[in-house]
Amino acid sequence: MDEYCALAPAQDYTTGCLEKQVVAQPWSDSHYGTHCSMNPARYLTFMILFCWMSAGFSCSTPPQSDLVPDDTSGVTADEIRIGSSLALAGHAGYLGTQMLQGAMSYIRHINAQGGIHGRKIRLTVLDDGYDPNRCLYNTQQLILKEQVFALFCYVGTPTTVRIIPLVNEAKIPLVGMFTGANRLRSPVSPFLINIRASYYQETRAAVDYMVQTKGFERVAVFYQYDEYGFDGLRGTELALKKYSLIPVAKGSYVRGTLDVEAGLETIMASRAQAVVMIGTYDPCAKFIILARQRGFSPLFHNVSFVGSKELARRLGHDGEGVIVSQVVPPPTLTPGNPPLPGVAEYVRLLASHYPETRPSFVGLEGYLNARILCEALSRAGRNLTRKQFLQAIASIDDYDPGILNPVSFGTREYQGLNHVYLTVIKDGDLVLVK
Amino acid sequence: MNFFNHLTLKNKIFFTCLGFVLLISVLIALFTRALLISSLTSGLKDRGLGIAQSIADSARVFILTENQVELTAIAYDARLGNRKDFVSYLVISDKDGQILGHTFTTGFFPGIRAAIQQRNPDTMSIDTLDQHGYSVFHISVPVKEGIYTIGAVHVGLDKKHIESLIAKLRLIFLSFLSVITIIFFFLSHRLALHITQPISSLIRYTDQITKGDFNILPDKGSARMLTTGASKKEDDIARLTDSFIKMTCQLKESTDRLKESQKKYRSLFRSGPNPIFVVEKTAFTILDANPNAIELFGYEHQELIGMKLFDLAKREQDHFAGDPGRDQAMIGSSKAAFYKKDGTCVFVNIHTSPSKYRDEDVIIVGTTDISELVEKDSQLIQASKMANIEKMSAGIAHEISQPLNAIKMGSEYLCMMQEKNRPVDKDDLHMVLTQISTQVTRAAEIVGRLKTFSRKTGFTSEIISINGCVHAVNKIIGRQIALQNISLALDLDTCLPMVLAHQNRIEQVIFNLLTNARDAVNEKIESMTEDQKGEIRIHTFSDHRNAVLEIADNGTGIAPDRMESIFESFYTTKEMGEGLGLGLPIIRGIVKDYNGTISVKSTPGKGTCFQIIFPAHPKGADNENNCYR
Repeated sequence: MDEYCALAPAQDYTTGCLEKQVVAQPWSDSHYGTHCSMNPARYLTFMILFCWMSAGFSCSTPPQSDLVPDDTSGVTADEIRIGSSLALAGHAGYLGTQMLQGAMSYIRHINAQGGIHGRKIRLTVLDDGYDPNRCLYNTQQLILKEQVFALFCYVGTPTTVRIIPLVNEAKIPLVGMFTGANRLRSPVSPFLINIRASYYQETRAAVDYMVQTKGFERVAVFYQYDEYGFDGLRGTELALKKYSLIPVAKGSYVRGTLDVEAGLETIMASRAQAVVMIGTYDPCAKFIILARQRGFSPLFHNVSFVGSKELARRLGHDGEGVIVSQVVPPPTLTPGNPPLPGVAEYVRLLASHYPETRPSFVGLEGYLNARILCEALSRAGRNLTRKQFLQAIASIDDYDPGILNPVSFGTREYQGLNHVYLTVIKDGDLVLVK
Repeated sequence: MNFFNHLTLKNKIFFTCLGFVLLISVLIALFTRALLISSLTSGLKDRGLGIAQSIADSARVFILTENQVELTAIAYDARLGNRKDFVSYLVISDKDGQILGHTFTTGFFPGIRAAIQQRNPDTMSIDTLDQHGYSVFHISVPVKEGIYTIGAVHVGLDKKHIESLIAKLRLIFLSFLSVITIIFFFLSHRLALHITQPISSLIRYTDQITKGDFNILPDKGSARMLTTGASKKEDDIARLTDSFIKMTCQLKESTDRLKESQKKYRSLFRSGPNPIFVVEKTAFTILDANPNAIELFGYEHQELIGMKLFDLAKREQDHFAGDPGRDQAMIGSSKAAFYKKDGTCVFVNIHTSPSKYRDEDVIIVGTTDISELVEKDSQLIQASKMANIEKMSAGIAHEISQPLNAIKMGSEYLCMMQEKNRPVDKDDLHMVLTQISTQVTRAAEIVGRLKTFSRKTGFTSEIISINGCVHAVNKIIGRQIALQNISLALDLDTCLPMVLAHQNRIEQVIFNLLTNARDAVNEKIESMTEDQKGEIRIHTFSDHRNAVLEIADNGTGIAPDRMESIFESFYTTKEMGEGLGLGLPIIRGIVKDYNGTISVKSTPGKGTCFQIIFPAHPKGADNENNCYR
């Protein structure tokens, strides 16, 4: 993993021009246009007096500047610096690593072809260990010190949510977050460019499957007690509400721990037919193994963030029948079906750049993120600015990255993909639910 | 102020209310500016200080371990939520001023490093940092472990945010004040209207009344309309309106009365039996005349207006002895001769009275046509004169026969001398012829006098001498009186002033009085056999610019009980058939016509004295002057 850090030697950069930048002034308190309307002819005298009073007291209004700054920081003649803070170690280290390798395999491929408009992409990667505070510190360093052009491939809900204020303040684009949190989608920020489907969409697909296909009515929720878990819980509750149902039980664990017993007992007591699990692979695997040990075998459903390959690996044969919703198609080349071109390229590039890594859903997502980033950079042209980059993102409409699932960014909705794939663990592998 | 004075009452009230409200508003605004804003600023500073202190507490352990990740997280946490706008930046430094954690994302606040390093980390401070148009309150709070400082927390409070808060506060406050002002604007407008509406309607009605249109208040019912509502409240305006209505009613009544009396007088003026003129006071120009005047004088109305009154009388102004100072009516002139358009003479009595006519001082001249009366007078006077002459006819015949006898004697003498063919002495012839001529002249004179005397005269006046009249009468009957053995003594004042009268009439007066005196003397001589000589004395003299004529006799006199009756008509002491009893009344009438007076003094048995006084005519003064010279 040190390899990735070495990719981005931060010492290369001077900070001489840092102090040129100043704190933006986002506040606005325009108070014009609030005067009452009156008959002007008759009450002219009064109006004059009133205007005089108004002028005397409400001196001047600070100018409002919501415009995206024509910022070209991070762009040099032959380089575009992109920053990323993700978990490369710790309990979510697998996600970050897979994601980064998927993305890097495509970026290296592009760089090898001469970059985009003569510039090579250099990714500065910092490890935050899935810790929001470290993510925050890293992001601050990336923006302030490294002066990257854009942020890329963030992993995790609490970490990404933590840096939203920085992104909005610095007006720096953030492309491709490995999280489906609603907080990143609403309220809409032009700088947060989501690519994957949201947790709301994932949990909704899961609930639809459970209630409609399986005919279950007793659905429990097991979630990580943080932004990520809450988001999944809300999504599940909203989906259940559509069927006039509520979760029969809710269990949770604290991020970074494996204390799943209490939650398991609550859910077991409710005799739930299905459990929607919003967590990472470690606690979720433990939860499923423990449940099966105790003879509690409902339908387990995990969302994409769980890291399906790692989950399947850890579960072993306990994983049989566990469902994981995905936002990308399976990254495996099934011999029977003609391969999706994007998946095929991912597998090819990954094999060439990271031969020891097996393709994964997370890696495919990282690859797709990199494709969208490069597509947008390519569309923005040689005279690259953040404003132009954002315009290029908005211009992506019905773009096919090769997965039979076209990417579209409206000017309002910064989310490229909407399709959810349900997969089930079968013999330690993930296959689409028929 | 001058502008204010020219405003209507409504606007005065309105602007005063509005000005007052505005003044209060401005004062409140100033108060707010002074007090609220400063307290708001200090409150916000306190809040910043509180944030810094709480951050200092939580940051202590991380400063010791120099954990930049946690310090950055703490720093960003301090700017969460709505604090983001208020807290411009937050910096955590160690005791040497090295920055450990901060919230700068896009770049450092200019000069912040220097500011942090220069500051004494041991004390708390609030300063103002102004750099490149950005202005913040920089609050520094030391972080201590035990008694030693290990670092500091610096909070930058955005001044613009504070200003915007203040601006918001001002806006809210101003909106509130504006609403209040607008409400007061309408309120004061309504108030001013409420107060001034009745006043303006009063003004409107007053204007109408001034134009003479009283129809706004035909009755009490509609008068109440003016005060609808107000009368119930009984405020000042209602009372004013009430008084106004009362006043208007009174005014209407009195105007109606005035119109009525005007109408009355107008009809009197129009239909009165006598000609009436309205004459200007000083120039006596005729301003108006009633139809009778037009009828009497034969002029058209348009012709009359603008003429002088004296043009009608063909006289001088001084004939009108009017006294304009007096208010009551008076007789200006009696038996004044006026002339119609065709030249016919009309005698009128004139009554004048000062008055006002179309804002001018005028004299109302009322005239009474007395032409008939004057004619009757003349006839009566003539009759009485004829009666006198009849009585005197024997004497007058004798008077005339005497010269005839003389002529006859002379002519017989001349005939006799011719028959005898005797030469007539030249001297005798001359004497006879002279005598004949003298006697003829004398007889002719008597006849002439008689003729003049008996002539019927009109009522006119001229400047005459009373002495002349006395001489004329004396010529007619002087000799007769002397024949009756009565001595007639004439004591005439040569300096007697001239008077305005008629010669013939005055002669008639003297003639009458003289015959009366002769009768009285003769009566005395007859009744008393005493051989006493009868005496009549005519005396004229001037007294205080009056001409006085006295005729005294030493006849029987008049008994005191009869004194009062002698001037009454048809009263006579003479035997039936001898007198009509009209002599003295006619005399008095004539004397009165010429503004004279007649009085009588009498002692029974001793004699009677009649005294007639005429006012001297100013033009006769010449005579007077000549006399004294």
